[in-house]
Amino acid sequence: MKAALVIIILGSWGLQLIFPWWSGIIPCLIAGMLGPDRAWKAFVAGLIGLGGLWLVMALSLDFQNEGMLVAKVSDLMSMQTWMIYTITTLIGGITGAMSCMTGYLIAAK
Amino acid sequence: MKWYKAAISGTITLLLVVLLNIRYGVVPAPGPFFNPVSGFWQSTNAQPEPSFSRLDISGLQDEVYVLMDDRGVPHIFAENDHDLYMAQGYVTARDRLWQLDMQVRSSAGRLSEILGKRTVDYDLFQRRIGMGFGAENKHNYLREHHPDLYRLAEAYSDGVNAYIDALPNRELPLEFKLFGYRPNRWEVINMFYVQMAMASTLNRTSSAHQMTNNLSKFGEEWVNKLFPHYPEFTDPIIPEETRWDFTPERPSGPDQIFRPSGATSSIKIDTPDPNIGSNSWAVHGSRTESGAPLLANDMHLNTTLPAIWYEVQLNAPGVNVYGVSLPGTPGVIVGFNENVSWGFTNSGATVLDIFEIEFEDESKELYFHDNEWKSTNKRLEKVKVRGGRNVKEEVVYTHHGPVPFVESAGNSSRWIPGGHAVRWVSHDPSADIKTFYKLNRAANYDDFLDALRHFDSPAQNFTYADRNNTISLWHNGKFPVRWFGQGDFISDGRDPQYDWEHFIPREHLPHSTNPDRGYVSSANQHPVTPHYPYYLGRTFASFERGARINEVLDTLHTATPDDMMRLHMDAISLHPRKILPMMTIAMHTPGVEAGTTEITGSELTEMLLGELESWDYNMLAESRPAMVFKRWWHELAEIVWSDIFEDESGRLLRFPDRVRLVELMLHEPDARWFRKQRNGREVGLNDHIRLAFDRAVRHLEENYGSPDDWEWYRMNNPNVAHLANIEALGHYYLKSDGAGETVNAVRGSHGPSWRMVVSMEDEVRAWGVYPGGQSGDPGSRNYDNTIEAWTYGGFYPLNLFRNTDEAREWFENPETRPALHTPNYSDQ
Repeated sequence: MKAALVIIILGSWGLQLIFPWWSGIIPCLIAGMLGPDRAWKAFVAGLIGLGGLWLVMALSLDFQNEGMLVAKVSDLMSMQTWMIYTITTLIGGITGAMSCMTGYLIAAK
Repeated sequence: MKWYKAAISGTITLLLVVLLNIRYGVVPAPGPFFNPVSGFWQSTNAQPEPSFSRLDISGLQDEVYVLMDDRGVPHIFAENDHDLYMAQGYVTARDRLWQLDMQVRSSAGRLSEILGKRTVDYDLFQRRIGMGFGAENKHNYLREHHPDLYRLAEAYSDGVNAYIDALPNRELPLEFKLFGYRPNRWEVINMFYVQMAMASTLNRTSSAHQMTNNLSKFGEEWVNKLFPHYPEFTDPIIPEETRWDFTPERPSGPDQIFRPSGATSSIKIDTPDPNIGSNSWAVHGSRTESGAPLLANDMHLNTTLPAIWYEVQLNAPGVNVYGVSLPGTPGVIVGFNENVSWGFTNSGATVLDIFEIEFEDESKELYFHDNEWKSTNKRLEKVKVRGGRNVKEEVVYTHHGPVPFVESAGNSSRWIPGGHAVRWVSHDPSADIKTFYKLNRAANYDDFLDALRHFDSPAQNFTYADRNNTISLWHNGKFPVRWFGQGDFISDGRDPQYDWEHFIPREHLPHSTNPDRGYVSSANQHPVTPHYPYYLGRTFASFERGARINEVLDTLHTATPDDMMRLHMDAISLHPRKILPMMTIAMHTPGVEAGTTEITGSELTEMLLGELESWDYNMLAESRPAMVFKRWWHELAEIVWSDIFEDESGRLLRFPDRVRLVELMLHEPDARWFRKQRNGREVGLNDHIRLAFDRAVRHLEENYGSPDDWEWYRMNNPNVAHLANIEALGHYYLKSDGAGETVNAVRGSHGPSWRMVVSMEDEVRAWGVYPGGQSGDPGSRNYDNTIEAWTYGGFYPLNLFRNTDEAREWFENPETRPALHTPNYSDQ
């Protein structure tokens, strides 16, 4: 699990700097192939790995900005700020989880 | 079995990615938008702090230093003009990239590339009326005739592109991510699209079509009565006693006003906005406390976020200027340097005429002019449409100009009927930018005059004050020499007498320098009395603002900058002051309909009338009488004019101006337009006034609830909206005093877009404020930080540093920085 998380966090962060947002699923896929010994563990690793990475990044950007942009975007979307965070984390988390599990399933077949 | 699970899981993953990557109408694609690596989270930065640093971009010829001050105003110090304008382009792009892109799209008719089908009609209109034609004419003219200036425009473009080229997608401003696109590289011609957009706002208008319809419906006598050339209350820009010592050659014109062939019907949608305007004045040193002249200017435009203006100081050998720039245009547009200051108000002169064209046949290859058939030109316009089919159209051009609409019908024809050509001065080649280049460097009145020569459109009242105690005002631009009344109505495109042959020589333009009264001022009203030997047009701004400014300036004998600021914020309306006493008297005078209405006579009515009678005509944000009067007037004008100006065939007609109704009520209360039949009885003006009051009170109760909550700003809704009207990014219902006709001309989304006061002392002092902020980034503190000060009348000190040492000193000593200044508004 730990190895999977490291691969996901470092790999996704690096790839996304250069490639589109969805490039982050590739390290998840690889991590799933290499690390976990159960499908659900792979799923959780992807969820926590990519979702967590996105959450932490969002929090740190928001902290630097003193919360002004996210407040405006929340208004714009007619949402509460925590919902914006939830959506951000979920998009990363679910795509991460699914790709990591896919990786596990490919390797385990 | 397991390959099967892997396949399902893989498919779901791919499907998720695909779904998250799709835009849903106006909703951005969730994946690209929300992810924190390249999504909206990355579109902002840490909150800005003042900085002083060397600008490090490739292409600069020498060292450039930029101080970003506490409001995010760049103070640029360069060693040559090239670097100066390149740096200006760069910092403007850094703060306002999306605005730069958007305003060019909107001017050039390229919104649909981003927004899809819903903006196709708008884009087509921009193209049909020749925005590209005008921009290209100006671009090519500058390139051929002023290569030195063209190179500076290129330097500015290079600066913008230096920023765009180095900008990774993840750092694109928020709006690009909302709308899902990346900006194109900047081109020199974009500067002319910005200028065309400003010209459109200020002078792309004509009431010739409505006036022609009025003429055919009511006849000449009515039209002259209801639409006089020179309203009684006018206090012109150039003092009345001014005499003109030249006799112009003016054509006599045709014997009879042209009567169009008839096909001028069009659907009523849009009439030119009569409230666009600005104020500017300069007070001679003999009337100021310091002995140095004072100059003040506020330009009334759409108040938007990001703002139309971007504040900047530009310093290089030969130039040191501070003021506001138009994003996309090199230089300072309105501002001051160490020797001179200048400001603008728009000219209301007619510079767009509409011509009826006789085409030989449907192909529109030939049109009749000066007794012969002449060839048209065609200009192909292609609108690219995001997610739809591209639209191509050939626009027909005569020597007058483009024919925006081929057919008469269609709800986009607005104020230009089908089959008519438009002659618009802003299509012409010109090098207006040269005026700003020279003004920025002007040291005295001669330099000022020399700068004015190059300015064609949109024509402005240029207000001027300098350190040598010269004040001046020039009504400056390119105006056709007209016979009396030319252009008031639709012109005959066949008859060369309607063509624009000559233009008013610069030295004949209306102007006033160091007049006896000790000040010059303008508020878009009639520039001159009818004694002026040229004809400029029929429609100018109403008298109220101009007369109020002059009235206040007349009382100031030792004017101070604070006096100027208070005048900027003045909200006394001359409209109710002229007419409200008559209206309240009418309420006490039983008319024919006495007793037939529900509200008059009630306790509420008595209370409101009492309040109106003791009201000081101050349009304060929280004033109830201000709100009641405004609605009352609105209802009254509707009652008086709507049955007369309602046209069964749907023709576009023009209502008489507000000031004309005031004059008629005061001088001819029994005139025929006030006599009407209502409920089988002949009723008159007093009855209308009473009925209007009833309707107004009812309207206010229905829309604003209890009279305790009737506050003028709730009706006026002073607002500063986002350029794309995204509500969450704008500010609404600001508690600002003022109305369209007061000096503080705050009205809905319009208002003073830049207030500036300059004291031309040996060390020039200046203050200014615009609603918004320097940054276009909604996540920045500087996105909307100045709205509050603008609303209540605070002014920021404007620092014109003479060199980098002064700038560095300011930077290193936060405790000595001058603070936001608020004059005392309570004891005036």
